[in-house]
Amino acid sequence: MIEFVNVTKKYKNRIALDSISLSIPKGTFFGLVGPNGAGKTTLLRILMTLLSASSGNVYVCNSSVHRNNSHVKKMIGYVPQRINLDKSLSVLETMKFSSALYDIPYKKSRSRIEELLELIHLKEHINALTTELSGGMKRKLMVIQALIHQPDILILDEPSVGIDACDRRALWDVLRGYHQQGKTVCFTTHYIEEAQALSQQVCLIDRGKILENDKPETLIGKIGTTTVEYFQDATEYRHFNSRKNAEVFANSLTSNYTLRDTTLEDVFYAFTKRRIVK
Amino acid sequence: MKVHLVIQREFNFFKKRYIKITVAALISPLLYLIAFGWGLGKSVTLNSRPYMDFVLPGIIALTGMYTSYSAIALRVNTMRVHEHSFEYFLVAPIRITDLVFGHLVAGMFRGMYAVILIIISTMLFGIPIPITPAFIGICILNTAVFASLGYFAAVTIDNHYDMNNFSSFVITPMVFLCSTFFSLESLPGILRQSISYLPLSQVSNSLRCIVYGSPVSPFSYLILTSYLLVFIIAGMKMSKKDMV
Repeated sequence: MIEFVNVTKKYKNRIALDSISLSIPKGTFFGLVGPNGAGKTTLLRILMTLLSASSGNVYVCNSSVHRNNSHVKKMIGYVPQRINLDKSLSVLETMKFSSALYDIPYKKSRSRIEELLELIHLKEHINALTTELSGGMKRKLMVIQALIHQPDILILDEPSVGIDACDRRALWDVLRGYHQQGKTVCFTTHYIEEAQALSQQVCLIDRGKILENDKPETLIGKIGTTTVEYFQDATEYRHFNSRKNAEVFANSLTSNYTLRDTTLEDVFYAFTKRRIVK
Repeated sequence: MKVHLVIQREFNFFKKRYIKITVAALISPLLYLIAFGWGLGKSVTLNSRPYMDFVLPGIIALTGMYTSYSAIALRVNTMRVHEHSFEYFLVAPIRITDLVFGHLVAGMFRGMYAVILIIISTMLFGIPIPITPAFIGICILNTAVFASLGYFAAVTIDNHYDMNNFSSFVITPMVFLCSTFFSLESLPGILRQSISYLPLSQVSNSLRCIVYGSPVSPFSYLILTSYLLVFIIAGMKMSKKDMV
């Protein structure tokens, strides 16, 4: 459904994306995971035509994306990392404007707007200016703005940033519900918990290159499902595919240790010797 | 075609700020009128006509220019660089041409609104202005040229500081030099020639011709239309560049 073919983005002295080729099948809940500066946002902004690739192509349903390709744009809902609401509009005006941009007559979209505002508990703020909303409310409004035209593909760039734990769970439910309708959801995050909780397919990206791209359980299986974290001059990690072997190793240690399930953070560390969240 | 959506959104913006916008549109031209028209102008004649007859078309021209330019330049640049709400347009199924023409019409509306306000103000003070179709046409062309320049500047310049510089280097010199407050005849040859081809000079001189009862040169329409086309094409081209 979404295909990046040898996408490279160069700035003056820096390569932000280095020949990325990636395929995201229809109906996948796809997580793009990496530390800040890895190239996640750049990749999504190229997909959304906000940036141009230095070389390579991006296709959605075999159609090349560009700024005047309305057909492709109608298929996508996009939630950027930074707040991009018009400060002069109210919540309702924002939603009405979005409906009109996506050719949904207000009469038809009215019930959908109400339903979406209900979903994220913003109905009581329907007439508030977007400047009067909290950061979390603004982000949630941006999510439902992207859902107004029921796109086949939902793209979210760090959707949980600035949202408290309770709202984050509610947002996950919205995204899961949307994915269950057969839609493709693609998001970037540097929250490991979020990537593991939501993704069917995870792509680990660092310094503009794809490290791994697979199911979370497959990625974890590559280094071992159980991790022993212990201190020996510095914090060390050993991964095991059997909990029994991990326990045997842990009991042989003279220092304190933690025995736990391996996370995607461990996978990232195993490949790069760096942490996603510093 | 979604031009109307852009216009609607800008009209919404205008509706919510119309008092501030109205006051801001009136202050500078009224000060110019008071200082150069009623103040200095009382004792000055130019080509044996009252100075007010000379300066008023210039003030109307610069009012239309400044308002249409700044309405779009500030709004679009703020949406692009500060609010990032311009991004929403770029990822939505709306064509670049709709974006450009929507903002162009919105800028023309704001410019014409300021022009009408200043004409009403001068009429209240008993200064008659011949509102002919040519006069209206030149005013509309003036606001279109500078709204499109404002759009071009806003999508080209990536920060507010440089927007301000653009205004200081391009708009402010035009305000004072383009046959608004004094006749270009007093300037040396090459400078006079160069300035006379600038859009505001064409507008000021054309409006002055109408006030003096002479016909507007078709050459002025041609020059202004050429500027308009160049700014529109440049604006469209720059709308395709990477977002900051």
